[in-house]
Amino acid sequence: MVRTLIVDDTQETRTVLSQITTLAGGVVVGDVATGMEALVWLANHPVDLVITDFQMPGMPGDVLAAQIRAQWPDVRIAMISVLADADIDAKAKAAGVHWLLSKPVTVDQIERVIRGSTGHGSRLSGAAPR
Amino acid sequence: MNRSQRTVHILEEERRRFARDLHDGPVQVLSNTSMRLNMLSQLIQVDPALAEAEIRRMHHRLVQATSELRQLIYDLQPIAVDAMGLDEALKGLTHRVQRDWAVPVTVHVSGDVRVLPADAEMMLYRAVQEALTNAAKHAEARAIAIELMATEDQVTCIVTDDGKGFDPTHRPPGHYGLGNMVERLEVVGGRADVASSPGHGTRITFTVPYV
Repeated sequence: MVRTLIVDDTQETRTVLSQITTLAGGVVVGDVATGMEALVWLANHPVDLVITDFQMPGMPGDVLAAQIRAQWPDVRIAMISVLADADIDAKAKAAGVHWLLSKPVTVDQIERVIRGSTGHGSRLSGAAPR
Repeated sequence: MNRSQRTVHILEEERRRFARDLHDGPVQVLSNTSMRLNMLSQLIQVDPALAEAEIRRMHHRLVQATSELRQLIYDLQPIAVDAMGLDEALKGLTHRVQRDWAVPVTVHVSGDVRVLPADAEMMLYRAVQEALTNAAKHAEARAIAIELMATEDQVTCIVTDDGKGFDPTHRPPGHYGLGNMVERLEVVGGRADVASSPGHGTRITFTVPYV
């Protein structure tokens, strides 16, 4: 079971990504609209995979990813972006993102991400930061 | 910045706004629709009722995206304000806002407002266009009023809406429309004064001197 947190500032996108993740075999344990909410969620719930948007108001996806990698290094991160240029690619690499996907994503792509996340993730409820 | 630099700056900010509007609007809808279509074949197998609901949602959202794209095309189109007259150009603009956003807009004109130089008319027109888009799209106004008047030495245009309002001293990151309006007017020697507060609508007063 890959416990997945969806992070996107658009409700519609969160809904669609949740449906795709479920169809791809993941278990969506939560969906939040901002990076800050995601960090609060991670501090209180065990999560294996975070699927996050790149372009979000407040905290962009790469900044969120860097914070997740620093505090919960076992959590896998897939970042999705409408624009996928060299700049975003470099930011994703620097932040330690595991998968950078161009939007729209497919069920097959998310299936691969979920397979790659199996056996990783935070194990304890309330996953304490390292 | 000199006048030429400010004009370039305004154009760049405008491009940024169009990029943001495309990203946040039609591109989101189209990519979400693409993702919905991708999962539809599997969804039909596991939950036919949900699949049917998704098809209805996709249709609804594509209609919305078409409307948003149409609005962007209108915004991008050049318009001969000097040939039409500022008052008639603004009436045409309000007609589109009423049709596309279903928001009633009243226009009241007093005095001979067709006295400004062509570049000043254009800057005022684009600033009012920005104000109307903000009111209808972002502030979710239920009514908008435009008062266009010519006095002894200037043309004044007041745009008032009953939308959700905002704090003019705080501009959220990525929101350039307000600054762009002010800059447009300053380039032609005018000004834009914004009065607004959360929950109490917005009133923007544009003034442009004759010289």
